[in-house]
Amino acid sequence: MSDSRTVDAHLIQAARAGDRDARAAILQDLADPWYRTALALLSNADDAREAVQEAAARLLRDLPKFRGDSSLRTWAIGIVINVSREMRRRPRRLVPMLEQEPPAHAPGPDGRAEQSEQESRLRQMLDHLPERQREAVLLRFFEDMSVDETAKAMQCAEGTVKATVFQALRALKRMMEGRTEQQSDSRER
Amino acid sequence: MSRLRDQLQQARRQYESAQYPGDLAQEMLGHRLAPGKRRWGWWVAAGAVAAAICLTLLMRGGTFTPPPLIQPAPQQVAIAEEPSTLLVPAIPEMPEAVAMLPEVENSTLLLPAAMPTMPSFSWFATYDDAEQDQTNSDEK
Repeated sequence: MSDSRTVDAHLIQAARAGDRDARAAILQDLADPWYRTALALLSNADDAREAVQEAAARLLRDLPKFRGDSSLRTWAIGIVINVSREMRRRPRRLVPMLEQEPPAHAPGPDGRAEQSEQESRLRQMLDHLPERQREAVLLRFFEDMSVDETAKAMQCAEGTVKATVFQALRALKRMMEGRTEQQSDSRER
Repeated sequence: MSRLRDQLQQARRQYESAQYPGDLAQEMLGHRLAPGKRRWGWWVAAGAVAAAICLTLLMRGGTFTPPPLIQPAPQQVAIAEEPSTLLVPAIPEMPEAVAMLPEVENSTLLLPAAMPTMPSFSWFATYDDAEQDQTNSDEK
């Protein structure tokens, strides 16, 4: 951890000094994690791309204010989460995931059916989670962040993260059980 | 819970396959990062950190043991056996009858009879007189 922070410090120092390569390297490294996070939170490829660009602009603007309390990646993920929250609060974007077109990276229709059936089911369930629970699950299980890092990215206490993750997993399990019951009922009929 | 875990793993695989569709650095900075330079900062800094760690470990270790130097094995030279008696030639002896310093009968210093005299620079006076005469004639 300390090594990565040292690396962060070198890059940040160079980026603050106006080194274009350092700035470009930071953005290049964050582009994919940012996009994944935004896509999972916003469920829309265009919105996710917009969120990434907004996050990049904020990072470049706020880089001199970065104190290094967390790693650069944790701080950057926190930025894209904030941007995604703001975008989700826009009324025009409250479109359910099922009604949207699949993102550009999704597999073609031939191989998609079997592979993505369960995945899309889980993503639908994630979509039904409250915002904070979805963020917590995303960071803890998909981004492999620790409780501490998740708390910093979400700007909350570690205890809140633990409780939120617990609630989210419980809700997901209930949703899965409910769906299983629905499926078995429909099969019996 | 294991079923939920399996589904989370599957969803995570799909999640990780998503990539940003474009070049963010180019879009935000108008600056495309050369492929070779993409991670230069990380590599340079990681190398510096690794070097610092190695140096610290070496310093903390106290003694640095260099690899053993390869020294050539001492060669054994066969020496012909000779009688061990050392033959020293006879030391020439100083004859006792010879005096170390020449005998000086008269201890007075041998000085020349007369000291050399300084040569007279009479031409200096001649030159001054001529110059004075020239000045007087000009005034007249």
